[in-house]
Amino acid sequence: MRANDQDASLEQNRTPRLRLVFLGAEFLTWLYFHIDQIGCEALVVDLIPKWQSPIQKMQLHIGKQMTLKSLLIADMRISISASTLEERGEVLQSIREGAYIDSLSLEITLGERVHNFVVQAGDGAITQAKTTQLFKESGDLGFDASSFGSKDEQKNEEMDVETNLLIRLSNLDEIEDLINGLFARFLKRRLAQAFIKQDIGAIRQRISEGLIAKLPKMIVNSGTELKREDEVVA
Amino acid sequence: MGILSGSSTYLRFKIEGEVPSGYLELFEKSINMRRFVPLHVDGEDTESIGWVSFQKPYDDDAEIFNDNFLFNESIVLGYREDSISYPMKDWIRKRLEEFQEKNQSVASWQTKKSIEAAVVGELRKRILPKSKVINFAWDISRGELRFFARGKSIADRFISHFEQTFQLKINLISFADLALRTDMSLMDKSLLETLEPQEIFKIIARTEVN
Repeated sequence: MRANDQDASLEQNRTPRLRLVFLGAEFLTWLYFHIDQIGCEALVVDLIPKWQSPIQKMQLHIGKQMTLKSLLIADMRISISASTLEERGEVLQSIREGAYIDSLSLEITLGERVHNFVVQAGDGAITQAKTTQLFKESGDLGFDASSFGSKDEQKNEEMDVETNLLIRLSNLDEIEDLINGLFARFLKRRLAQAFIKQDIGAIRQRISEGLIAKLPKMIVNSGTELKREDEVVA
Repeated sequence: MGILSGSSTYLRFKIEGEVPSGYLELFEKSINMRRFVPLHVDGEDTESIGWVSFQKPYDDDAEIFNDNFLFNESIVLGYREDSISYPMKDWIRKRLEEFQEKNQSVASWQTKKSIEAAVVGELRKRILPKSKVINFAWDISRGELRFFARGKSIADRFISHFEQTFQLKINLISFADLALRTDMSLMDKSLLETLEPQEIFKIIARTEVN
């Protein structure tokens, strides 16, 4: 068996789960560039049907941290934490050089509830999820005795832990429903013929425009190459 | 940590197969059969794993009844791992030196082994095991489970213990898995089967800004 045959055979034997592992990073990268185009209200109503009752405020934002992973250079990973991650030069430049988003923090507001969390591309894990709780955190149980009479504290404690747990799990359900729904939208686009032309085209345009806007001291040469002013003069 | 307060970090799993009818009694029995049993001071085991109540993970004597683990339609439990390791080298060296000084001869292989056993017995009484409790929440109606940790080795041990206890397979829900589970047309399915990581972003890497 020739080496190439062996490679092809190995490739065929990989399970679909392993073969499609790249979808996570592609999804987060797509989401970073398309999040502002997703109508938030329609999205939430669509994705989380149980919250169709009127919610005053619905927002979906990029959070404050992300990591990028290069597929061209092994083990290269960039972590970025900033108050705003939209249109950041490092992000645009890294993606232009072949990096994908490996983890992305998101923030969703549903009325009074605010959920912050980080989505991991590789294993689909949710990390650093902070959700609105019923009680203020106090001690191990997340229970604020001041909310109740001290006489009833012990009696109510067990029930309150249970209530708090169920609210917590319901909040995590909302986060997962949102991620599942967003991913379903991405997948629909990813399998469409227009994906490269439209979605990737839009990303390329955003990167070009974003980088040019970030580099005021650079000018665009008559060709297709970016050059510094002094290089052009020389 | 993370299931009731603070920030949560977790892996998502899909439960494969149907939960049997009358599962509550069955699961209560299975959980108690594989409940956590602490390491005994006179025992030889160096690690122990098992289920604990998520509210009282260190109450080693209490049985776990369904009102300790069933909340609405979710089974919430702690997975506890205790392990004990001995700082043997220094202790054995010290004992061997003592032996040589006393007997004016080098210890035989058999003597070394008996010194080792004596050291282990002595240390076992002095050293407390390291304990780790990771909670999980299994939503029966969604058929999904959240394991509140991310380490691969502990997740693998958890999966093995879970599958032995509940006789149900579980699989990690990654984005690849989500894609494969999505309802789609036959044409999209065949597209997905042959989907490759297109050079969509590598194209950008090679594209000049214009």
